[in-house]
Amino acid sequence: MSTLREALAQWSPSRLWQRAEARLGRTSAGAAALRHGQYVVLPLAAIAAGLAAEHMTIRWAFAMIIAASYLMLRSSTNLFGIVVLGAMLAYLPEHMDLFERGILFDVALYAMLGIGLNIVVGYAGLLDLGYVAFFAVGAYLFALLSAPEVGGGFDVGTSFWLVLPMAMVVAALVGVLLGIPVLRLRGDYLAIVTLGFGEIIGIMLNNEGATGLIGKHVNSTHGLTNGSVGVFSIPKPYFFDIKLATPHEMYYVVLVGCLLAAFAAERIRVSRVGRAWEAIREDEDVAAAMGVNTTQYKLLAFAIGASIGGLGGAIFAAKQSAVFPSDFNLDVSVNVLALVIIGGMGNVRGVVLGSLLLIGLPDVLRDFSIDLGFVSLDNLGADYRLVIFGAALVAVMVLRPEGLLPSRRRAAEFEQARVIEAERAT
Amino acid sequence: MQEYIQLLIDGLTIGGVYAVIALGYTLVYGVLRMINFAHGELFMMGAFTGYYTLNGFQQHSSLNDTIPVFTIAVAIVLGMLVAVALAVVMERIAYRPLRHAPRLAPLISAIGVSIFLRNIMLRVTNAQGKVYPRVFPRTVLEFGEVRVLYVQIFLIVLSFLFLALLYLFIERTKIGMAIRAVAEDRTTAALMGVNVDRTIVLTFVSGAALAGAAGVVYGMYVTTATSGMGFIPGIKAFTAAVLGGIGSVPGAMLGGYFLGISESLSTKWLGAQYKDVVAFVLLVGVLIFRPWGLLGKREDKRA
Repeated sequence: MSTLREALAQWSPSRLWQRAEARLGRTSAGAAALRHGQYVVLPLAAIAAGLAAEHMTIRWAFAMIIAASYLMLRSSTNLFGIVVLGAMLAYLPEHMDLFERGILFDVALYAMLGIGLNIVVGYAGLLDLGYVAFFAVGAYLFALLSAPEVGGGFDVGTSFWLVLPMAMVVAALVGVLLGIPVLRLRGDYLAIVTLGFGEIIGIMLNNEGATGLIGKHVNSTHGLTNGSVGVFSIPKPYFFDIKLATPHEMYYVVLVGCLLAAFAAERIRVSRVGRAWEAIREDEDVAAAMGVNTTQYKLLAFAIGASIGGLGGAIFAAKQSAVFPSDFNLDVSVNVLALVIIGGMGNVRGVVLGSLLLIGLPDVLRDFSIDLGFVSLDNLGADYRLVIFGAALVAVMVLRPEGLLPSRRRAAEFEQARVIEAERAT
Repeated sequence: MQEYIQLLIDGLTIGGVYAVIALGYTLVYGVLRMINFAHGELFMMGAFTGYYTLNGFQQHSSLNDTIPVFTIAVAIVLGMLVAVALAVVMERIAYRPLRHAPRLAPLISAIGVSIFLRNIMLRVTNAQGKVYPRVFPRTVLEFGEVRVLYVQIFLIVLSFLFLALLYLFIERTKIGMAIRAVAEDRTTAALMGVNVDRTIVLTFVSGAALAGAAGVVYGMYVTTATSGMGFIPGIKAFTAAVLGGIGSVPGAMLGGYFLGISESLSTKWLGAQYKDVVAFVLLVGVLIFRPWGLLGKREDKRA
């Protein structure tokens, strides 16, 4: 029995990976192949997937973006890469149909949400499973302030551009209120409380119609949130005289928001605040001993992450022109968390990659199907994306816990943990 | 008064389910200091196993007895076996390689397992809930204005039975002693000759068996099985475990019943639509004022 177990252990994925690494690492060429292999295999796979899809040209172009960005995002100083990527991102929507522009919008929106959540999870090391709550706060804030009475709103007529900072502030406040009771505690509790909070927000949005506990005191016809009917007829925002009516135009809004969020996140990361987060993430007790006010900095991370979520929510509401409680379910939180973790924690580039792979790719492959004879998988991207998500989360944690494109710091932390484990094993 | 008795009985029914699931969380947390997010999905898989078993029996029309005791027993045992098998595989693939990894890693891995199982079942069932065949008589027992279903009595009795058995298992058997030893101090337990790996697997197994059984019985109670059904009871059972003091076996039982009855009472005071919120409010309240729970041990050192 024990020999069988040993034999099985020899062939366990982690052992195989270790052996492959050890074998290949012996020669410098082998080590290089191993290190760079993934940067070849992945883009090739993306291109192959694009080739296999219908509507060849557009899907192909999209797959190319995924591939290209993966390579280019490797180095933040690769100016050429950034220019090419920027040009593609700006130019490509012109040649896409409505559906594909929607995908592009989603990729950019989720990249932005990912940048926000990354501040909480990647920088400060706090696991937030209810990120959708802040997204919902931003979306409903804009929806309720701008939608007319018939659409379930309050017809205040607040401008979209004014709502954006408001959404950030309100979401940050909600984040602080939620954070105060739980941030003093250990990480797993935070995960479960935020998860519960995300659910509560969804339940409240659904219940606070005309018959809700609070809703019935607010308005007799549509309550606070108009319940499960949702809020609709949200007016389209104007940029000076240009009406931002389509996903195409809103895509540029979210792209700018995404870039600003990325810029802010990077600047904060290298600041005093960012260093404090890093210290907390690596060892909270030591950080506290060094004079870092851990609760305060954790709250700050929570608030900043939440504000980006709120911003994303407002943009989402403007693009959709209608919001429903069902838009704000656990899947949103999970998608954002998965892209942050799989892309690589603590790193804006990793987040963008994660969004392209997890949000863009499944949609591009929406009607991609495989027929293996005995089993045929239709709508692979649409139906199986969450199945693949789940498996990918486990696989990434077991094989490459630092994610595909981790920050250097983060990778070093994981490497250190691995060394300690190896020492413990001997 | 009768209304409150009714609420109490309903609360005990659902509280029993929470208590049985909560034990799995508390046991695993005790030995690994890890929240097994996929525990609710074991419960869900148990419910589906129960459905397929009972459905199979129904096709052969052996559900004609008033209460088909044998069929129910088979369904429960199969539900336990499936959950146990899954838990063993899960532990081996997703958790064991991460035992020395940073704290977040096994948690995320567990979330991955949970998403995977939930969506696999969503595809297997084509997003259609499965309706349980009738196993208990539909007639309602009436005591004055208090109305009780047969299945409720069955559920309450069975949950007490399971809790008692588990308590004896943990307190009186050698394996139970090993589990307690590993929970106390893994390194010392290993030095004392406890096989830590095996003990951890056994912990998962005992938790999973309870979750699988709870799934089958809960399925009979609510008469449907859906791929998402493990999620909310899972979180609530976790809440129950925290309420009672995570790591404490009697605490999880107490927490489960406490939560079930609070929820049941809240439907009277707040309305049924806010039933699901009660658990989270209680959770946050406990975390603020008594983070070690009702019966848990106070840990001064934050890990």
